[in-house]
Amino acid sequence: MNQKKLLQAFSYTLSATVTVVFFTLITIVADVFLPLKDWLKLTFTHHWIGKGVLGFVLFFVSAMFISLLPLRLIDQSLEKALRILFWTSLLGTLAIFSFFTFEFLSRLA
Amino acid sequence: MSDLLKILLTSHVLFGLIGVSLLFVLTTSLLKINPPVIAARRYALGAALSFFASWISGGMYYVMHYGKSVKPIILAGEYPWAHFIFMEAKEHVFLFLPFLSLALFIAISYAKEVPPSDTLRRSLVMVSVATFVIALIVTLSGIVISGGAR
Amino acid sequence: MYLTLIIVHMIGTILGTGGATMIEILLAKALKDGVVDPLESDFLRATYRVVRVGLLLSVFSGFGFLLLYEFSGQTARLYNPVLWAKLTIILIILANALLLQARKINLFWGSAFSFVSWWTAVLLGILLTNGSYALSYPSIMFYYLIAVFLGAGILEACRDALQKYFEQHERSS
Repeated sequence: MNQKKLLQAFSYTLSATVTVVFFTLITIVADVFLPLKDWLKLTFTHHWIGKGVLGFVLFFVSAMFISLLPLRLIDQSLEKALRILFWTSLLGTLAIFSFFTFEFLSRLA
Repeated sequence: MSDLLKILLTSHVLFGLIGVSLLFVLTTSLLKINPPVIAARRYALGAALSFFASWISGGMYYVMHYGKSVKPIILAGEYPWAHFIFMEAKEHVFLFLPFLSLALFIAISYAKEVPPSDTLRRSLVMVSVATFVIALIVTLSGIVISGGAR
Repeated sequence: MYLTLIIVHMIGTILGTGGATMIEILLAKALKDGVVDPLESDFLRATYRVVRVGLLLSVFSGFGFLLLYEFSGQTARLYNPVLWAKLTIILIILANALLLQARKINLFWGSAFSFVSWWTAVLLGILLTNGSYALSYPSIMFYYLIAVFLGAGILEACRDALQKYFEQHERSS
């Protein structure tokens, strides 16, 4: 029972990291590579809705795939996964704010 | 602004604040030497559900109104950076919050089954603090954006 | 709506500021013998809870005002430096609470930040109501930090004075 809960906790922690990285990358890439933004708009009526839907699906699908890993690989790693999530979320926030600040300042120049 | 849009914006702010408040209470709980794990689990779930509700209400307001009515006012005004930096960043960083809260809920659910070690407790505190700080940044960005529309 | 928000905000402020003040008084009394006993700890815990309720009511009603400004076209008020100083101080109250819980800040600074922050928030709220926009954000924060340093010294002096009075009282009885 504990092993099952541990696997679940590890899977979802890691999938949250994957989702945060996805949101960070797609935000930056879609603003730089406009065909991606256009595809999101066309498929989901709005680029932001598209990012949200894809991220939502990715969170659960990646958790499912990670949970297929053998238990011996994830033993004692939940703490590590949480720390990775901590750094990823802060760096992702910084990256997004920095990117849009840089874009705005480039617009002024 | 129509009544529906006022309700959507108010709901977005209200659910967001509930989420932030629950994250604060969660963090203070996890910082205790013997954290009340069952209560902490409820706070994390509550935060996740609040952020999902804030996402939906805010998203509707954003798609129905912000893009065509508020954004042009901000861009034409003295504070275009309120949109170019704060709105653009906020609408994407906000998306982290429901998933961070959900991951916290599931990780704390495991901690409920075993007595959480000090390392696990500290790792949970780190993620809780990070989520709380990001939620605060998102909240303050919202004030900056609204202030730019005049 | 505005009246409801004022009432809720006032209740929150009274509970928060009153509670923060009571915490200093209770702490001074509790530490006069150098030890916080279980009963004193219980009173302090109850007072912390009152402060947290006050903070919650203040924050939620505060955001209610911000929404009202948005709906009534007064969005310029959202860039008021006095408002941003007040928001910063609320963040300091939150951060201080977490640092105190984590035992990463000592009582000398923790109680000073708590006590001075709440009273400064009250003062800034009065200034906001009176429409005093003449103060700049840096100047408000500068005076606030001075008040924290002075407050820390004054609160410590009060605790020392109470401890000395208790010791003298013990000797004479």
